[in-house]
Amino acid sequence: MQLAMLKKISLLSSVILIFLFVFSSRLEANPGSPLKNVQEITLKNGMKFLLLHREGAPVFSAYIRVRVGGIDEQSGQTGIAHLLEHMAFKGTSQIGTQDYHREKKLLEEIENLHEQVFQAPPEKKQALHEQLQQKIEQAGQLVDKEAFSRIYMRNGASNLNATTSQDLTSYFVTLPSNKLELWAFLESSRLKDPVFREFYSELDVVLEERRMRVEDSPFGKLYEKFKENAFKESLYQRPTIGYAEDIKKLSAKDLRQFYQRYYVPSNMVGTLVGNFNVKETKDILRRYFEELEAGKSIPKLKDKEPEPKAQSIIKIQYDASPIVMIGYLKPTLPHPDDYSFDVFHQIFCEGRSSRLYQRWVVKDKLASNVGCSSSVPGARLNNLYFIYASVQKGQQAQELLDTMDEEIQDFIEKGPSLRELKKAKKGLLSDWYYQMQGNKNIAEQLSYYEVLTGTWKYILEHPKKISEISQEDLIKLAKKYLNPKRRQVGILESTPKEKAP
Amino acid sequence: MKQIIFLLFLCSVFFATEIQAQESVIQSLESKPLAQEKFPKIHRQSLENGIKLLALQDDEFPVVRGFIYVKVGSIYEPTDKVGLSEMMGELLRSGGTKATSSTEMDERLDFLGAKVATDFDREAGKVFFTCLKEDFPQVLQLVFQMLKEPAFEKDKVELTRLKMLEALRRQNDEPAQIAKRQFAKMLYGPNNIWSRTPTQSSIKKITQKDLIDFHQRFFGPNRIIMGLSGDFSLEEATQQIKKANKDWIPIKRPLPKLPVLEKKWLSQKVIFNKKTDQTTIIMGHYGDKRFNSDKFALLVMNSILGGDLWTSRLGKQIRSTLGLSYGIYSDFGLQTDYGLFRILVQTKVVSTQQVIEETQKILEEIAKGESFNEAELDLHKESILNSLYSEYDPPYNYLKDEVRFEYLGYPPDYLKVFRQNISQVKLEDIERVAKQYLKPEKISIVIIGDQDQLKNMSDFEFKELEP
Repeated sequence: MQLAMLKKISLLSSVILIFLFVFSSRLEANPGSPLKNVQEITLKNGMKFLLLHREGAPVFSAYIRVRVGGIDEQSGQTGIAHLLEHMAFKGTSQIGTQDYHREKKLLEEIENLHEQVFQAPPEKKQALHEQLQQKIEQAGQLVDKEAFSRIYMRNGASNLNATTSQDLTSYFVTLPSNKLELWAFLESSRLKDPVFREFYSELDVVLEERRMRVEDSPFGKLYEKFKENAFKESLYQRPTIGYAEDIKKLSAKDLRQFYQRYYVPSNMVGTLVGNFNVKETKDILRRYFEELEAGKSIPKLKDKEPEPKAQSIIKIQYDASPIVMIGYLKPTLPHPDDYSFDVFHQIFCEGRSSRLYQRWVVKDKLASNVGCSSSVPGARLNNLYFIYASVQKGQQAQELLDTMDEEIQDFIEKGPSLRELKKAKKGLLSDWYYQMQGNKNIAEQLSYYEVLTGTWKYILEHPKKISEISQEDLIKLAKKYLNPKRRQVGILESTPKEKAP
Repeated sequence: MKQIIFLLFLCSVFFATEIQAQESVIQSLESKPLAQEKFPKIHRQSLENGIKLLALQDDEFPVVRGFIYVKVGSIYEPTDKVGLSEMMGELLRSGGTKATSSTEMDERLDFLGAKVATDFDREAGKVFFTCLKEDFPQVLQLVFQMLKEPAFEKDKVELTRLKMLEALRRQNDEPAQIAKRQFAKMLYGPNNIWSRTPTQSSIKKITQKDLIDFHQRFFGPNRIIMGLSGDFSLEEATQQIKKANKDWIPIKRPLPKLPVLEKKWLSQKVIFNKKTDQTTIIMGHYGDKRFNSDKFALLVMNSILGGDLWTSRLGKQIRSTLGLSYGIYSDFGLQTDYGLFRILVQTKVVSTQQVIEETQKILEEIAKGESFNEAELDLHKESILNSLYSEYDPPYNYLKDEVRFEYLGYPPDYLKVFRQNISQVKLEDIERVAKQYLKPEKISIVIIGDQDQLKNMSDFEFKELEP
């Protein structure tokens, strides 16, 4: 159970690759591509499934994506989507308990006491708190520890996990093919009838997760501050994991309300890829998931971010070596400029021959690595073209900004060469194939675009759009968006070392 | 508390009738048979000059992936040139070859959309590539240039040195990374081949000539295992590899003899100072060697102790019940020489002592060897056995595993051997290995955390991190 953002950033020893949680490059599936066999099924309650049979090992990978993430939270309740993701592993009224009747009563008492503790005058808080602790302990004794995950593990789950991003909550697992109906049973059970047991210890787990990912991580710390500053109005300014103060105030009741509103069939997409019988699987899906109540449909969020008027820089001091983050506001998919950004990104920042790597790392030696992404921190709202670099010792962040401006100016004046354009398109095409191998990868891609754009076919249509992009389009793009006045910057500076007495 | 929970866990299925009904539904769903077991086939051959080829053909997508292992690593470096192997790995990729300059190499690979990455660790030099089918012959040729005739261009040597020095400056930025490094140094000694790390002075000393000599000493066709997976003609690929290999002379000199580890059960406890919100803790001692016949029992025993967050005793207690950590894992290292047995956990500063005590309690209980039962053993065996199926997808994943196994000296089709051995682990085996290999009384502990807030931990030595 992790946050998608930080998990996917990996530094390899020789090539620095930054994968942010939106894969920025998609190109065509050729006519012989196995994707032509993707089947869609929509249940009566509106829940959609994508199915793809693949020959090969007797396994399958499954994704359930819920269109809910950090941006759907009320202010003051940051972190609730992510906490709910954690709590979705706690079982149901029948899985994870030894006596649900007794446990249910205790859980209700705990919720009431929790509210009372908050409202009580200071002199009464202590006694109520002790009572609460007692009830929590009693309820704890009725728990069948981690039963839900235990069933999965016993049956060979690998990659059993879930992630929450600003945009989405995703539950995924890989299992042997004979466990497909078991999967349907377990997933539909937790969607229908989740029980938020062991709420308070899980709250502590999430606070520990926050300490690890944000407070004690140079990248995580700067990224949180950077985003708060880079977005002035957008819901993207909040951290997915939530502020510690908000997380501490969350209750099981809040969680239930959030769950009831967002975990409705029309807001979810399931995807199965692997070696299974498609017809039988359709029957299984109907049998298990059609019982979910349809619920109310959820209105689309509006983008509120205004056009940036001036560069804004935020600096933090931290016990680590300097890092720079840069962002330029841009429209999200399926805006035509989003496709152009995919191509621009290849030329500007992808690979050792890219312009920014050559300038910063090879020629001027200002940074020891650089990575970029064209959809930070998500893609449901307008987002950032994002650049990240480790500053080489003795160099200044301002130098990086100035030389980047020179590179962008050069790009605008002379344009990309035809060879660069060709290279970028080939790079996108190869990446498309590389990311499409294996059940888990295919399921990840299909479900992501289905839930984000309304159709997985976005993947198939992407290549045509890319092929139409010209040198002039990219020059226009750079002129329009990559202006220093629109730029948002975050800088992590090393805390000055204390002088020895 | 622990005891109670464990008993509850055992009895849980016998309670309420509703739950019983549900259990039987689950059981019937769990017991559906696996209809077919069709696994990809790997073709193995030894080519002239000693290069070993493992090939798995799979034409689902027009992609070819290569996984190359070279018998080289930082354990073979001279004492005063630590970092040499890592630097060579980076420069094979980025330092140009006799036939192709580094600039041209980067441009050509990017133009093809091909990825080539190197990763040289303590005992393996790995070169991995991915490209489209149509570009495979060209990419294979470039990769062989890198392996056979790297140029170690001077300006790229300097650039790599600069990057490595910068990485060194950043080595104290992430607590988990620091803890792992310090724990190994504590158990093996700071300059041991299994724990040493580059320093400013060792990085600065490495010359172009060192790189050339090191390459000549270790790189030859008989030191290479190559795995290919994807859509390609095996015959054409074999021909091409043979051609590239033709004039490449096998290495005759045997690998350098390595110093043998001496286990010193010192039971040290150190807190390294870093102002953090969480302390990062590693507790543990020596593991064992790779070809130990108790390996499978040890793996199952470790799975019960701390193999995952949900079914392991550490995960259930420290994370789930007490909410003291986001992650806690144990790992019983079985390496070429003695590996490390480690429990890694992060917790808020004020819970440091509590986490150590709780962990110690669980470890002691496991080490007595009396607390296991058939249900727990079955759960962990089934979990491992069933999850092995997913190693076969995507097919290149299976090939990658097998190349690694081949490199480490395991028999062919080791996944099957592994499955068989795990399925034979018995209760008495895990009881015995727990007693024999776990030594809670000899635990060493490394903590990365804020010394000002940890002052009361008086049985620990307080140290500053080296810059």
